[in-house]
Amino acid sequence: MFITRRLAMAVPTLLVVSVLVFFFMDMIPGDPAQMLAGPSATNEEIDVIRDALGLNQPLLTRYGLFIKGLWDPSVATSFLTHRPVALELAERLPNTLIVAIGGLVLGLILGVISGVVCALRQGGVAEAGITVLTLTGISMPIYWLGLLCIWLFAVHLRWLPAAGASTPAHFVLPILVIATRPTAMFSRLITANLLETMGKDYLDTARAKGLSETRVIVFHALRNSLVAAVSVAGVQFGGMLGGSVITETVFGIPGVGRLLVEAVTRSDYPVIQYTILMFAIFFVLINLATDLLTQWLDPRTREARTT
Amino acid sequence: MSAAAGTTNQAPETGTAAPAAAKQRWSGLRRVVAQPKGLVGLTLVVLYLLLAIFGPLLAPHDPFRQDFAATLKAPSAAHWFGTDQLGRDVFSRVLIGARATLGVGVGGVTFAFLFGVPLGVLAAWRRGWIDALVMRVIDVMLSFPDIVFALAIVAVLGASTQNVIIAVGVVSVPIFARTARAVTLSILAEPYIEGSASLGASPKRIILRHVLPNISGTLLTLSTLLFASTLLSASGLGFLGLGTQPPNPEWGTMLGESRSYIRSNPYLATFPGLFLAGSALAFNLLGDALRTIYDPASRHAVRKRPWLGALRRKARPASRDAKPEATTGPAPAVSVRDLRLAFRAGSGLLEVVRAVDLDIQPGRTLAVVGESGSGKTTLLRAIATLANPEQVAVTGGTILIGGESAIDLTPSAMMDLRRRKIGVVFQDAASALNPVLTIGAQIAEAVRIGTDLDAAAVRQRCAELLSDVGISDPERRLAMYPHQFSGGMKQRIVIAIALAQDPQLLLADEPTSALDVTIQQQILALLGDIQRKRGMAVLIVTHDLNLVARFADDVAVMYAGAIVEHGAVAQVLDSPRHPYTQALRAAIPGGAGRRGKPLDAIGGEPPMVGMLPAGCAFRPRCQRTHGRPECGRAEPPAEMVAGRKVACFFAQEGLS
Ligand SMILES: Nc1ncnc2c1ncn2[C@@H]1O[C@H](COP(=O)(O)OP(=O)(O)OP(=O)(O)O)[C@@H](O)[C@H]1O
Ligand code: SF4
Ligand SMILES: [Mg+2]
Repeated sequence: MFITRRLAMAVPTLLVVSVLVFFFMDMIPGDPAQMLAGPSATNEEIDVIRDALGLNQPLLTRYGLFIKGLWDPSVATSFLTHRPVALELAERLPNTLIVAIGGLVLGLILGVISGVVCALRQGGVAEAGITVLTLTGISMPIYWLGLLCIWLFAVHLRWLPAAGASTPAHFVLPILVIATRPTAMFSRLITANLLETMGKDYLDTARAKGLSETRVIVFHALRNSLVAAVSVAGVQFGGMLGGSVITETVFGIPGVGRLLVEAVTRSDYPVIQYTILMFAIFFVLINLATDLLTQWLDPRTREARTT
Repeated sequence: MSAAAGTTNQAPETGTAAPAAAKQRWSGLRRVVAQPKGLVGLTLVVLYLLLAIFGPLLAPHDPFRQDFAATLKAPSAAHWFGTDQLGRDVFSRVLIGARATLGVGVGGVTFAFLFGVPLGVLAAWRRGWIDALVMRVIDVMLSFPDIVFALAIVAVLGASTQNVIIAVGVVSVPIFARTARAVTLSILAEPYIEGSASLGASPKRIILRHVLPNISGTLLTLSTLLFASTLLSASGLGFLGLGTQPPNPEWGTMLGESRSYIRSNPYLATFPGLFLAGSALAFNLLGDALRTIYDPASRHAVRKRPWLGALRRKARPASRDAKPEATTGPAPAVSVRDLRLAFRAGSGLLEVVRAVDLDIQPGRTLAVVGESGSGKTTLLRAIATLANPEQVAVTGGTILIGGESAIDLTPSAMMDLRRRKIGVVFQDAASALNPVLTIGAQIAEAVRIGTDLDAAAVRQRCAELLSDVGISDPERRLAMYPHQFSGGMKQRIVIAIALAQDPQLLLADEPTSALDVTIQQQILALLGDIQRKRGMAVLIVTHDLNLVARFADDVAVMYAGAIVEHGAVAQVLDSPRHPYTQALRAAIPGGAGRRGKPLDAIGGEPPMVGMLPAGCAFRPRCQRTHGRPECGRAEPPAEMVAGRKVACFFAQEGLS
């Protein structure tokens, strides 16, 4: 069956990903214990730290311990704050998810509307305008757009706060800015898909019933673009989670992305490891969910799945 | 890379001469600049590359000289873009930063290309475990968000320009590898490649000769598009302080530094960002233009609506005076007079239906026959009000359905007319049903509109319709999807949808030519039955004269957009008067074996649209004209001869 097959494919990927992230520690040039102890540490001090990090144990034990850290907060603590990594992540994840989900939903709404307009007004001013806008949206560095929006809405107009995550208003700017790329992507996807669908006979069958053009487009044509939109939504959602490393820096949001950037700049390796692992797990799960949803949405493949 | 990938050798033949290859390279360039976005993109890309090369020479100030007496100054004549927090000239820094910024992009894409493409080609060529391994590695690499993956690499290697190149390059390797693999696989499956492999061509030669030239267009497109995103990721790392290290200028790093001064000195962020966004836009524009050329799937994007169409539509040729004919019996279900339809082509209007007159009385069936391309479908769709006004213009004449005009209607009047009077059956039932909706939903949609039946009644009616068209167990079948039915069943369902609103006129475009003979018989018998019960008028388009003989009351023979003979089936088919009808008739010597075959057994070719011969359109193929001058002088009008209308000057000679 498709679901079990697809799950069976995800498990080895996750395994390899976790091994890669685990070995990440060993790829760093130099000795983590030495780095942590600082340049003035004695050999004994370094040995104590090495022991505490479990670096002296056999490889397999260390990998087991690493995996255990996924649910046991006592295993890994941040070099910097000495708090459990799991705690650090759990505190920040909601902020990251709010921005990513908000951006995705907003992008989906705006993208579908502009995509439909673009497909129905081929050759018109609206199409040219939307094409230029989508290309600009894809080319826009989020960090620059973010700075411009902060200047305009927070500094100049004083409508919204510039940085932080303490009130819902803090999330408005980041969501608006992060939605540009998905908007552009959905818009292009929907346009291309609709143009392809537009000549199909079944739309004429629907028109011949006396349905309104709006209903023909929304219920029959768009319905067929849904499948493609779902897989793009998955990619965009993953991209936005990854993009959080930049958005959260621009807007000063205490989220997982910001945590990762700080950890990288300050060589806080346990935090780097688990954050990357978390991102990868999210990515694999998103891919899995998109695949399953795509399968389920298309009756032709749904049929193939059950037989 | 760019030079090699610039060739777009579409001709796979071996031994192409060098000049031919060069010509093709230029034709690729021409097709890029022919598109506005390609022209703008290419110009910008060239300008940016020049900037990267000559930027340092143009800088008016030393980009590293600090001046603490003049920090954070606004743009001025001395410092066009102002000065930064250390008093350095921002304009000079932007100019010099071009090299580092674009350099990282070029480096990253080159890295990814050099590792990804050979990997992909190798996987496609060797298949087996190498392919499986490459695909797994790609899977794993794509399990990390790209910027996070790049961050991890930078975390391991340390922050520097060179490490950023490696980081963003590694991230793009799987994308190149996957694309190269997919394209190579499809090329290797081409018959000519298999041919040269069996002729003993060495693998290396096949790859160099056939595969690389053919995938170069796709790879060039991909490189250009990836260049834009690589640039943005690399500068993103710079923005985070993990890329090019100060004091060296790079646009992303400069943006990162400007972040602290966004309140007091917003222009500090303006210029590097502008240049960065501009470069990404330039490469995206160029990549988009390349994609329209090399990716057949996106080719419809170049499709243009003739914007002159709206004007042309007004310019209707003066229509012939419609002769009001003495109507016998009740008002016809459909009445078409002097109808002219034209396709809007780039060069103007192409007339494909010319001065067609026809009537169908309730309860009667008219068959329209004629060669492929004679305009039958165009005519039927116009009567069904389904002609796409962006493509087809009604340049003259009238269509009345049950006495109401079907031309130039407002959207709501058109919906109303379609709902009350018209049912349509298309040739290909598979594409006439929406694949993602249950057939129950599709029939119910027709039943529900304009009535206020409750859900149970709608369901009841849908089931009745299905049993009317001979589908057993309708209740269960309503919940099924189109792909779960056979071709004949699908056509029955399409008919059920067409009948759902009790139409007065049923229009069927080759409803059975996609079906096998027994199913054809069943569907026709079904249509005949339903027509008798409901007293509908039926217009059926077909290639099949045997079908006409058995099923229709009247027949209209179309040639080059005009009806050349029109009358009762018995008369027209038994004693045709027009030479074209006679030729059609002769092409099927009473044989049931030829049923459904296209009418192609007549000598000569049908005329091209818009290139009709002067005089009678049939003259070049006519057996009767014998070069008589009348035939070349004017188009023969349709006149009553022996109980049917014939458009031939010498119809009286037609007794064969
Ligand atoms: N979108 C279009 N743009 C321009 N010309 C078109 C277009 N569609 C069809 N034509 C031309 O219009 C003419 C009539 O086409 P139509 O489809 O009505 O013929 P037909 O009699 O139905 O042929 P067939 O038996 O193959 O279905 C043809 O010569 C065709 O080349
Ligand atoms: S008018 Fe002349 S060319 Fe045309 S069909 Fe009659 S005989 Fe042939
Ligand atoms: Mg046709």
